[in-house]
Amino acid sequence: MRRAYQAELLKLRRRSVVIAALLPAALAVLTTVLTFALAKTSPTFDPGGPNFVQRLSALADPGGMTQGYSLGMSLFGLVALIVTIANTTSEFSLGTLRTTFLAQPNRKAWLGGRLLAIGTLLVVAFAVALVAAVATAYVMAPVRDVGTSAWLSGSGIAAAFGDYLNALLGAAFFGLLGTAIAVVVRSTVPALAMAIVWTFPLEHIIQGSWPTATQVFPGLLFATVAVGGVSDAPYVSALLASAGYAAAALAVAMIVMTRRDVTA
Amino acid sequence: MTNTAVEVRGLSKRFGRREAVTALDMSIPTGVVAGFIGPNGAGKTTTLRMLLGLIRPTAGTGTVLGLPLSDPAGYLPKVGALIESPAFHPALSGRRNLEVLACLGGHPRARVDEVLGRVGLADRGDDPYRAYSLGMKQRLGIAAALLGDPALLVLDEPTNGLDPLGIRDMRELLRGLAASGPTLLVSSHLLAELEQVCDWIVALDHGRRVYQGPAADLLATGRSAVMLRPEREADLSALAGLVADAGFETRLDAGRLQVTGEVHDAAVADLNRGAAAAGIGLVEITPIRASLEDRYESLVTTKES
Repeated sequence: MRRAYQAELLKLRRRSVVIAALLPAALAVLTTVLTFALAKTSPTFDPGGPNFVQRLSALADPGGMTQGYSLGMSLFGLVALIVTIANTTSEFSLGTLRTTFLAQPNRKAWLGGRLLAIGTLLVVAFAVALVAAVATAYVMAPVRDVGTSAWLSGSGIAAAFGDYLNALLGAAFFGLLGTAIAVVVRSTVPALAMAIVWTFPLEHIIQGSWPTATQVFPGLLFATVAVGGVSDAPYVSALLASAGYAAAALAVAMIVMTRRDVTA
Repeated sequence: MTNTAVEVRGLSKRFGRREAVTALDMSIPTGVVAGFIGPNGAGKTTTLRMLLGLIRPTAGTGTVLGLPLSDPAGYLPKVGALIESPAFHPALSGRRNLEVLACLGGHPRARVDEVLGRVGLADRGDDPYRAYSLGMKQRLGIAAALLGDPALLVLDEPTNGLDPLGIRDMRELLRGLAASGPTLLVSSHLLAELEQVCDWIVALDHGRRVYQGPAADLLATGRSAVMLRPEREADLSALAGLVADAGFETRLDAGRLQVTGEVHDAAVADLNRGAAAAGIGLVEITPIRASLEDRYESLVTTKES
């Protein structure tokens, strides 16, 4: 698995990937600016959960520094899903999978190494995004006259780390689901269509009339983990259910990848 | 080291209701350049994929480099292969693609420059793969196959899509590879190309083996021909009668007489003596060797009849 991991990292070492890895940072800056710019000064305003429009005074809380970051990275789940599907199905369509398996016949090791490499990219990209979001928050705080003394307290650092970890977990779960769909379907367009249509419009439409869907459907659960829990789904139960889905996705991907003939 | 690089018994592969390979017995001695021949759809690529662990046989057993087919991880480090068309990441350079494969296979990074040089891509290694011509892509595919310094090199249709110059270059490359030691298993439906480089032949038709053995034996058996030219053109009809009396078919061909049938050396000597006894001087006796294509056609026709 170590060789597969290093080989995947070698593939990722190129300018287009570096630019793509900076997208979360750009998104984090944007959503942090929006969070501060749109915050309401009314002390009785209730945002009703994770929302771009927050109460201004709440931004001075320990977790205020990474409010925008958390919201921005939660949007990244869709990107993680699309990128992992497109990236994995391209190995089938380009035929590179057969070249790969001739060099590394242990398919589980290859898939494991590949997922670890993508995970490493996410860890770095989301950390860079966190730094960018924090810097932006410090720039925006004086503009809206928001106090920053609580941000670097112990609970402030813990909140920031928690937001980072949740964002990372949310994206990783979406990535695992995307990988499983790609390995099973193999063709880019059907895989993307299936994943996007189910995970986004359909789940949200069902959620509109059945709030419990937030505790059941994978896309909603992963998004819930990414923002640290919502009123319809407590964080811990969402995390456990998401971990179950992710483990199942990984198992399906491993089994299918190992057993299926490589005819592409 | 075993005497056979590849040995399979009863190898079969079924895709749904279609049987792509049927009970194939095949043996390829170590050190030969083996041609794996047959038309498109004969089952060549499916067989190669089974040998390389990419697809599972429906039935059958075998060994590659002495290790069982069921353990591709055991033998693949000593096998290099180019299956169908070369497949690399278009955005990466040729060199980076090879570095990725070297890393995956646990080969030293220094091998990348060695194999790039060997296939004549040393100067173009840093260009993106998508900018390569078809011939360069094929060469990069062979470079990838050579990364592990293989004992068995499997090349599937290495001249596919190449222009005549590219085919000639590829032939030279194959000759160079063959001279350097590994057993070569080269699949192609371009039989004229294989005839020039192979010393062992395995022929398939509709998923079944129709021949296996030395290429020289295949080319020496079956129908052959001899071209005779009398000193005087006026003797052609007399010569034709003499040849017909000996039981051979003849055909006039621009002042010469083509003799077809089982024309072995002894028969040629008899014809020569007979002509001399009849006062016909022969100024040309040219054996016409049947091509691999002729032989393959003959094998398939015989099997069908």
